[in-house]
Amino acid sequence: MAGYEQRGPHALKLRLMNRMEELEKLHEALGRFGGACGFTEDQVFRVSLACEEIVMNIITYGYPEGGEHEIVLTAESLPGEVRLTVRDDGRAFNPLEVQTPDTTLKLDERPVGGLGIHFVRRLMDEIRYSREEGINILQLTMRHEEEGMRNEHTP
Amino acid sequence: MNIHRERHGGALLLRPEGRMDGVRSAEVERALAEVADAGYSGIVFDMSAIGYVSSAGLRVILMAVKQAKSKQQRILFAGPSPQVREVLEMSGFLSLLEVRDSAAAAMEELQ
Repeated sequence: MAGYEQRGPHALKLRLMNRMEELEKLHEALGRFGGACGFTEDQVFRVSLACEEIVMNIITYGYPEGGEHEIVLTAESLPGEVRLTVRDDGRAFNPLEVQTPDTTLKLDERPVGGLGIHFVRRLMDEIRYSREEGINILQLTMRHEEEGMRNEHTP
Repeated sequence: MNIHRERHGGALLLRPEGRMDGVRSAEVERALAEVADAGYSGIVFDMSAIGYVSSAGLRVILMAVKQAKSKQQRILFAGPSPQVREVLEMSGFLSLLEVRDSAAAAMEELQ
């Protein structure tokens, strides 16, 4: 599959174009990665949701001038945690500065947007953002209990 | 995405299968648009075969609730997996939606 690189059993590098259809590739790759790392269904779900929300945000808001761009996702499974890094050359965007949406509003007052970044903040234990030479670099860390992993890095 | 539709009396059972993500949710949106004017008294949105919902999926769910409200239909959501339920919880949707444990219980309630 183009743009897909499983680097050993516990590391993944995925190149996506700034098109929504690329989410299919994202979910497939993360499903395989999670399978190879022995993630639980819940862990695959969390990683997939966080990555989809970040990538969707970049595709939707990152390139107001349009054009073809590449978004690079790396995922690494380490003892006790999963590290995800998303790099894109879209406009500067720090998700840590996004206001938390009001999730108590009634139906008619509900805005449709703003929830994605809220999910990422709820699902991930650590989020770091930096902007380096025109590239957004977002690093996400999800920690987990060791017993959730079936074949965690045994030699 | 497979979307199963079934009529029970005056109510509709809608059962999408797969992921409600940024791409595939559009198919559920189309299915909802198709049934908007079919005159159903109520809708059961069976979530038991949905393994994954992102904010894009929630947008469609919110649309379904607003559509049902405008048609004076009841819409019940049934059988979400623990993960889907967590997304509903994180977004505050659990308090907006009528969620039931099973499609059968939800359908009975609409009869």
